[in-house]
Amino acid sequence: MTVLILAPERDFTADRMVKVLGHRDVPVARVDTAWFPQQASIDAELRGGRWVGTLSAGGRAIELEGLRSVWYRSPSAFGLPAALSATERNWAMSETKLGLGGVLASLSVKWINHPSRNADAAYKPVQLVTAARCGLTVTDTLVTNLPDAVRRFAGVGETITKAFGAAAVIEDGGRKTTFTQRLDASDLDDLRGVEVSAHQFQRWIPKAYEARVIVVGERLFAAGIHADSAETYLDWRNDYSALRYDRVEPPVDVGTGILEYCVALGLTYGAFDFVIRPDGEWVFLECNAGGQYGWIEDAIEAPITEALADLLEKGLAA
Amino acid sequence: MNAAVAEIPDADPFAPTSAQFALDGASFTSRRSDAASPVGVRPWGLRRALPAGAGRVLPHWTYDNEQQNAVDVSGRPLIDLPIAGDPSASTTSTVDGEDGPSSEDWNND
Repeated sequence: MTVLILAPERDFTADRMVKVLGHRDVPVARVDTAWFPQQASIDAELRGGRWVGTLSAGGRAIELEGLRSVWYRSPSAFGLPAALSATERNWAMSETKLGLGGVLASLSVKWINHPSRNADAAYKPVQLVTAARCGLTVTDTLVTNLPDAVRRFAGVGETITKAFGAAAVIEDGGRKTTFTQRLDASDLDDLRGVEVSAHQFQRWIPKAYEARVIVVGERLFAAGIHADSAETYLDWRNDYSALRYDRVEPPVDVGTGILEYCVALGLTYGAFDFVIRPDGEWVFLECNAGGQYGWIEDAIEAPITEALADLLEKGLAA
Repeated sequence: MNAAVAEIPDADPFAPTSAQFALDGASFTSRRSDAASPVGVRPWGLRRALPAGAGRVLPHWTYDNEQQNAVDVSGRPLIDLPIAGDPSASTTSTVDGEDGPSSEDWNND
């Protein structure tokens, strides 16, 4: 029985997993969905109420009925021929997602995580409500496209803003990022453009440090993230070179809430971000259901890949 | 795996967030030539977007179908090279796990 890894070609964490599973003599097949349709093919028939057949990719014939688990590592978009028009590309992308994606999504194997669960869990407002329901502390948050609502919210206390999803865009010939920002008087004086889309505003949380908690099944690996610059104190994504890490243990009630959160959203894996206030209270920021962990694994010497490999190896028996 | 393909870097092929509502999100193609709109048109949340740093260039690499990992010109897995563990490695410009990256992942982990 084979472990299927769906990952882009440049994914060092997936490289590491291939190596670990190889050492365990666990058959593994790695596929980037970008290979489809030009470098990969699907031949699947519905028999007895399940899809059987072959996904051919990377020089391998992967039998669908021979899979024990799938590790979904944000594989790349289907590599449709460049000659297609935008209309044709849109149609082909949708057909391929629903067809190939549908066959894979139907497989009754261990998923880490099933992409549909990742999609459900991607909505920050859903995350905040789920976290609160699971007993985790969350901060006051505003979702709006009304400038007056922003002024009302910001008038109560110090406020930050950050994106719901993409913190990066590509324009003007390159990539731009927009991480967490504190609102100041000049921001509130000119809110033109707020009305263009939904925006997220949150109360600033005084912080001693931050933490990323990686969940693998029922195991938790927590890293304290300590900022050594003003920029990283505001948002540690601003400069990874200005960070220090240590192994920390979440309070018991926080750990319990995290696991309940994963059950609520059907997640086997999750990357949780917290702010730890000076008084020691852990405040939930978000959970990225497919978040990166590789650099955390190295920084705190946590056996995260091994823990994931345990689950992938066991499949549904895990 | 280098056939000419359309550039759709942010489109998750499998189950994008948009799958829950519209189904056309996966066909978005980033356009580097897009320019920032004037204030009042541009979404306020993008006003302070700044160019990401260049990061460091990775050594030339290819994907090895046999080993199922990235290798350098001599066939050595990149994860066995010192660069793989360097937290200042080139930005991957990829996702932090979501449809629509929630963060710039500067770590080739």
